[in-house]
Amino acid sequence: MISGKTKIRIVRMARKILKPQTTSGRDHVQLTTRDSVMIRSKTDPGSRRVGVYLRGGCDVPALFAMDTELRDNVEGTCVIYRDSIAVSGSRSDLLLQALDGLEDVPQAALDNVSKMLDLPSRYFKADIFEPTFEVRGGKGDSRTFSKDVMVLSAAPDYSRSLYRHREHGFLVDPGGYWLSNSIDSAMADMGAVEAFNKDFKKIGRMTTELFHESFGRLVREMQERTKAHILVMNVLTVDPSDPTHNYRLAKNHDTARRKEFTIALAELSRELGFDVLDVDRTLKVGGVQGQVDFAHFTDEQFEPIGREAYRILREREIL
Amino acid sequence: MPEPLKVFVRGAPGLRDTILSNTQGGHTMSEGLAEMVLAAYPSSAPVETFFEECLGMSSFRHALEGGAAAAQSQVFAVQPAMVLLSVEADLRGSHGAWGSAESDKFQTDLTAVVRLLKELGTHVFVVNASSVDHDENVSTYEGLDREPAVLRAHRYNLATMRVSANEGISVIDADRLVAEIGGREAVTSFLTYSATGASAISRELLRVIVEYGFMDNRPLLPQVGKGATG
Repeated sequence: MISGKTKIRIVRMARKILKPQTTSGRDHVQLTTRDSVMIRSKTDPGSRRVGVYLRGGCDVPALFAMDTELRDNVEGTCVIYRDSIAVSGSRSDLLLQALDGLEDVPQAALDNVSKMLDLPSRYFKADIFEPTFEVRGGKGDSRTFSKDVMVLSAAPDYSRSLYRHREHGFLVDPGGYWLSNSIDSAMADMGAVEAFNKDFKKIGRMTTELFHESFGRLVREMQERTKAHILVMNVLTVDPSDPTHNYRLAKNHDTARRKEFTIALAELSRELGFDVLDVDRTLKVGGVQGQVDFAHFTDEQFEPIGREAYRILREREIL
Repeated sequence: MPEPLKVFVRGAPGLRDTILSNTQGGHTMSEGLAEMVLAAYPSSAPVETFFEECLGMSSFRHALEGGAAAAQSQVFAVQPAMVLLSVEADLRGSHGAWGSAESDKFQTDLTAVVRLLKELGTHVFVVNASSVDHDENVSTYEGLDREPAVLRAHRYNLATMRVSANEGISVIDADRLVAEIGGREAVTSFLTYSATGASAISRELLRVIVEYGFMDNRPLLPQVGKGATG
């Protein structure tokens, strides 16, 4: 049972997070919303406009921490925007499915699963391949930015399990729909669980071979369609505090898989020329003791990741 | 006085400095594995360490294949209870050609070494590598003639995990231990650890050998390979 005081605190915190906030310094103005950070130079707000678009897992919001560097160095206006579709809608083969089109799939089948899993309306759309995106400002005004930088993460391809529709062949990631709701609501809707099980077959996690093919194609399509500079976050290759020393009974250990994906990502970078934000290195240099798992960072870890992303984009003369 | 626990350390000098104290021949720590055992288990057998420098896993494989008569390694004469190896010499010696050919070769050599050592009745432990390299911070791999150190470290660590999975040996995860402390504090340069880093790796080795039963009066946990039963 939540006490009255706790409820008030939660409401206040939620308001603080949801309500756009404007702050300003000597040379800049910053507008922070739930899903974006916009920083404008006071002296030349229109000289340059840079859009940084984030899509991936729980790791990509670390790039909001670029705001520290941007506040001191912004030229023109820069916005960092996080797509509201997170890790469960960001595996590369799922995104490519939307690009390749789902015309052969009856709309009723898509509607049915969307309703069943409470999927966002854009879930089966290919709008991530559009060259621009819109950011809602504090006063309801809409601003369009080009996707100058697309930040992706290897985490969805590494971690997510997909399901394929038995009849129509399309893919879906159920995400945490059932997990996020109370067990009572899941139990009350056992028909939906059974229907999902009847209609979909688990295809599981991605192999590194498929990652190479699928993520490689995703990057190529994005480079071609959006002209964006692609920056991909790799994943931490160790598990903090994991005492495993013998892998005889842990052949498919997650850290081995993450090493394989990290190597494959570097090989793709060599082939396709995109930048890798070496999250693995950044975290290891600073220390990972406080992390609960590979993809969720502590407050202290956001800053160095943001700094490293800023360094790369500055070196490329994008920021 | 119980028989000493003989630990044979074979590898690059960095491995010696990571496990052995200054008084035992190392150059980094005042307290190494032997002193840690003495402090934690004063009534158990003392640790006697032997260090043999080598150029890489391939040279150790040839030494072992030559057998005791060829006397290319002291391991035959010492008859240790455990052998400690590391990826360091191979990683330092790698040419950095793109792809997994070098780490695949390391994996093959390590597998052969483990099997030969098991025939001598010894347990095998391998220290992997921290991938932290302060000197090289790569963001794009396009146009690089050689694989950067960080990538090679991932490949050799992965090869070591695969040998562990197949042969049942244990990995002393320097990569994780250093990451927990933070490479800024634990790594002085690529594959060279500070006293803090080295000490953490030695402590981890102690934790692992305790798990095997080396400090207790009980049968040791076996290192069972994939082909074996049990």
